[in-house]
Amino acid sequence: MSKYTNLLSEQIKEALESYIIEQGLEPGDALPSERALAEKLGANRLTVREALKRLRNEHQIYTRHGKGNFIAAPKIIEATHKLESFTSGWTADGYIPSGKVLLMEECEAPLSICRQLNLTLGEKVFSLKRVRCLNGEPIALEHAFIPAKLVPGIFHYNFERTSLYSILKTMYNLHPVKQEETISICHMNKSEARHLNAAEGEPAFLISSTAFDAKQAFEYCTTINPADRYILTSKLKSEES
Amino acid sequence: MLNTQPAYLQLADLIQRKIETNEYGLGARIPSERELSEVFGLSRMTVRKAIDVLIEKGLLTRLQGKGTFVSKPRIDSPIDTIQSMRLFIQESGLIPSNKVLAAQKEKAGVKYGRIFKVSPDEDLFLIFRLRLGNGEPLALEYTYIPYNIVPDIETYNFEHCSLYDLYEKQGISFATDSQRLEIVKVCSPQSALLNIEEGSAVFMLHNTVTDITGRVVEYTRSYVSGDTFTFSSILT
Repeated sequence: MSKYTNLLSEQIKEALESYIIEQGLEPGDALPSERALAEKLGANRLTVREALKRLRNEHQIYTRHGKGNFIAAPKIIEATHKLESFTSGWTADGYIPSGKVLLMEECEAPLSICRQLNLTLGEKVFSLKRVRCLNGEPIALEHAFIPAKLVPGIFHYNFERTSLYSILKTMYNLHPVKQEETISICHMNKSEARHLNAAEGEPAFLISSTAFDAKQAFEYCTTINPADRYILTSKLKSEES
Repeated sequence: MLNTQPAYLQLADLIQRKIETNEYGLGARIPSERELSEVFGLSRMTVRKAIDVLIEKGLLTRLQGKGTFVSKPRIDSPIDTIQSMRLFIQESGLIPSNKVLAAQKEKAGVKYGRIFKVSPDEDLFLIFRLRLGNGEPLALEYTYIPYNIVPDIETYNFEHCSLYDLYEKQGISFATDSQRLEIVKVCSPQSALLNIEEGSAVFMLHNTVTDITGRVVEYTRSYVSGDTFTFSSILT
């Protein structure tokens, strides 16, 4: 057996995962104490502690000081293969979406935004920064940029209650036909963490996306999703089938 | 023949060649501006200009107070196509290789029994591989397959042979690939094998592949360093 696969804490971690399934433990349920787990699994406490750390690193459990370990809430699953707005997508999945506008202004586009939206430096862009919540829990920090010339008068709308995409479609005739996304890892700074109810420096998904209508790139958006509550999924079908 | 290019461009070309021939490896620190100016008899200004050219090209990265480093290319892997990791690495201009860390029979247990929809007593075969690009670790893959799906699975060396080729020979064709992408922190041995600090955040990608009869024929869990990988998708 390879020295890389017989690492005891890895094996105990997998044994713990099986234990959670077998016992039918649900989010919020407590795990037995380290000592009890060590007895059940026939391992020493240090190994169990190391295995629990591995589960915590994968956000499968969380720890409350002095109270022990608990099964974490399932992560929110977002399917990447759907092109739809936050509001309509999540409502369809049975969540109650809400949002808070942190910033809404017209500003001069910095170089990074110009590149994405094919603008010249200093051209005016509409900038909208929002925290998005599902069932009251913050799940995303979104910052959208739209060339101001495409959306005159957009300041009149209240984006806490209205979906940006539905306004773009109905009032400005901007119908997304394509969206390009890049997904990378970032670490939340102090203000991002505060808005997302997370700890500073914790990892998160950083998704940069550009939306196109039939003519042009009309929106560039960066979204931060905390890693402890978020999974991206996609289901691919082979072309032959 | 006399080279009439300005000195800073000649130096930039020279450094670029050293990067291409791997004399300056990916992520390595190149000699300081002072060292370069002494070795080549050029002014600091000229050296700085040459380095700026390569930073602009994305080949070098300057870290305040630490020096100048050869940029590690970011591999962009489309999340919306079924494609092997080997091809991603190759397409991003790196030479792919892989190291088999384990290839062994294992009991499915409750966890993998659930994924494969088989009893916990069923045998699976685990192939644990480190994927490298230009010799640098990029991803760790734990691939589980039904033990009997390929006869004499133990006899294959997965350093050279692709699982997908074996499947094709067996007449197995893929129908779907369900992917889940998470971000987690890694401990040893994953962190050590990926050559990153313990506790670093990495992508954890799960792929569950079914064939046309609906049977799960592969489950792979990969740990992919966020410094070198981004995922992308085009939605229409």
